[in-house]
Amino acid sequence: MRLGDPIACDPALLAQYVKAYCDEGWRVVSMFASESSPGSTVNVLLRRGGEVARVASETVGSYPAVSALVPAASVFERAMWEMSGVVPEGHGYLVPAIYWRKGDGHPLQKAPYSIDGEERVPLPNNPIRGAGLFEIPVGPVHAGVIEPGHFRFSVAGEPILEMRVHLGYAHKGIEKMMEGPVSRNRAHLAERISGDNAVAHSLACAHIVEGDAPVPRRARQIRVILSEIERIHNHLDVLAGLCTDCAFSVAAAYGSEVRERLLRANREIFGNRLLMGNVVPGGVRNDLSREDVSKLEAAVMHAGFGAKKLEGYIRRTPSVVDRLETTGVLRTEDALRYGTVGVVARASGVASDVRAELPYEEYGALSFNPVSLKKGDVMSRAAVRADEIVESVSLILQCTSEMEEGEIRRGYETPDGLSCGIVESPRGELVHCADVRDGEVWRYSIRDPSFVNWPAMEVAVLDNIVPDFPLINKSFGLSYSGNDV
Amino acid sequence: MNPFEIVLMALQAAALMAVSPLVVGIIRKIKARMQNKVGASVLQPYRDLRKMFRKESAVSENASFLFRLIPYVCLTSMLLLAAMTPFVYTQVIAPYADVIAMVYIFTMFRFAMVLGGLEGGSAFGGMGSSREVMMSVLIEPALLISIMTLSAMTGAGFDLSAISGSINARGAAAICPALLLAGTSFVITMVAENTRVPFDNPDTHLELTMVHEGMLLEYSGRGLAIMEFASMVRLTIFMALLGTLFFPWGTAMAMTAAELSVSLLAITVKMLAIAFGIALLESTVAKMRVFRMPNMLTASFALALMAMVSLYVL
Repeated sequence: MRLGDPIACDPALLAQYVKAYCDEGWRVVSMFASESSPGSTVNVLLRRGGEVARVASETVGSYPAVSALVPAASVFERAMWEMSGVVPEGHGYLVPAIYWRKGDGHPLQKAPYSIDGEERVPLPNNPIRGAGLFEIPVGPVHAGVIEPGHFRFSVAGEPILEMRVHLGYAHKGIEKMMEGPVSRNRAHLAERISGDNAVAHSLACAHIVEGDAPVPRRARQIRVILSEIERIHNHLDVLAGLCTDCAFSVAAAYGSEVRERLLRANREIFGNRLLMGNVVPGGVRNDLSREDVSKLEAAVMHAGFGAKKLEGYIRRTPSVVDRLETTGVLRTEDALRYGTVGVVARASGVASDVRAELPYEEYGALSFNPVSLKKGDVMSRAAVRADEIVESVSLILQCTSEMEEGEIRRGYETPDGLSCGIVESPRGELVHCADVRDGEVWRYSIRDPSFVNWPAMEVAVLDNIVPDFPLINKSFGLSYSGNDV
Repeated sequence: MNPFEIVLMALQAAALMAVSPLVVGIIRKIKARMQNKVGASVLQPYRDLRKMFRKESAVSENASFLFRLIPYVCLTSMLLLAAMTPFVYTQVIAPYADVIAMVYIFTMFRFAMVLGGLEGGSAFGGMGSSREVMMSVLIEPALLISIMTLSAMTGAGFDLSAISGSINARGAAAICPALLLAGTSFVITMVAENTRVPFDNPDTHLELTMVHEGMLLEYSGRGLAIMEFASMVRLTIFMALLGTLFFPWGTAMAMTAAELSVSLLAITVKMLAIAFGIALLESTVAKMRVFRMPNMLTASFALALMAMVSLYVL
């Protein structure tokens, strides 16, 4: 989506501007700095339902922190400070968010940056102190096969008094690699930001590259099918993972089996288990034959019934319900305060879904019920996922029943200026932004839903006990790689 | 006691220790089948132990000499218990096979393990140890009372062989509320003491929820092999006690070839049944919250107490 002219404001007033928007029900969806001379332009992307606005401010050196008034901006300002060298004055918790290294200059600035002479920023201790309190450092190397992340728990016995997430171990420098001539194919790179959300990331990237010209209808339908299959396999993974984490082994094995069958069908139909290489700028790469469509429908139905059965196992087993209910509650006000998105927000009573509010591809023409629950505990997040799988199956079947022959790819031209791609990934609202200047991508910003949801988890775990943390973490189902780009 | 009997007892203790990895392998196999998986061979625990024995043992810089000593303390206590446990033949190293000694050798084992968890100086060892201690203070009285109920019931004193023999001799007449209540209490303590689901997950290395595995986290190579082996033996001893103390029918009392072979068959069937029960339990329930464990263990204690009381009331 091409973004129009921004609301320009003085850096000293940026926080007030953003606050005024937020008071009117807008939400900060992304913030990034794009270098300009002499300083940087701080861009704040806001969204309210189907409206998207941008506030931009030319900043040299430092500016009063937006997060002082709008807490949701906090994590973005940490990343901007660290990666682009824009200092938010009066920020309450200024520690690195992504890179955790101090060098000469900043990685996302245009001046050549060398990794020689970089120093690791030491991990901060939690501020909480007292007799009988212990700090437990966990990770980044974990005992299981999961992504790298460091967690610091301050505990009094088992209850958690404070927890801080320190990520950045999977930093790949993709934002920098995205810069360069617009004609370069970026889809394959976007797919590797977070491999399990390959479709969502390549779709967001395609939306930028394609400009506002629509792709053929058949391609739009296939894109919806791909997105929804991706949602199903991600949600199944989380549901099975929840069962594993509370040692409910039979259901865990069943959930993994259902997911595995779907992934194998993906490989057979789309040529890749995680659907990589399917979304390309201008359309999709592979057309579906009649035979593929019926295979696809069978595979998706199987996954849908499997998910229902898995949900039944969970709900009918009191010992599992006991673990999931009232665990890791994220209250509605916290969900709003931290600007959470996706399943996490929808389980806490914040009904926000890009597919309904800002329809892209064919979503506007399809009918579905956005799922939303109130309690915000692990069980609600599991229930939202289980219900969304059913909705996804319905969306896919709607697409396959209305498919008509036609082309699947069209030429495109990338406009200059600032554009963004906002899609609903399985984890929630995903935002890519690109500043294109004279046919060159000058700055590319990636905001994975995990990036805004991680800080909310620091709140959701409070007053829970340490052994419940794996369950809470799994129910959020966040990406480390997507956060660290 | 004639020399032949002594040889037989030594053989029995050796057999109990030798089959313990097999018992664990069978439980894992049944669990895997229940999850629709093929599962590793029942002999896999032997292979794992052999592999770990060959590997070098890394010791934390913070650890003192205790860290190296503890695996041997654990192994020795299990060796003692294996010699005391009626398995195929009830006459064990009586009169040394004393109920109270047995319960406190279990405690020694646990104490050594808790120390080992603390020795490494890692956060997880400490967490595992603190949870283990929380559980053990509740396990100990339940275990003691449930077994003492048997000694009160039979009037056989604290001698394990005599208790087993006495219940066995009474046949079906021995079945009474006290025996069943004490047996149920013992099953709960067995599951808790061996840190199985729902108290702990033996298959996980999910670091934040570990109890037993947390304490073993710093061990590697031979130390780990010994600790793992000792834990397997502990589970087997508990299963054997359930099969020979609480439900001893079929266990040989005299040393004749006929009785011994019947007894061998009986204990095999009992062990398989108990293994199946454990696997079934682990497949159908989830691990409970840490703070629910005391409730469950208190229930076990209450059952044991009721068993004891019912002896005098009913």
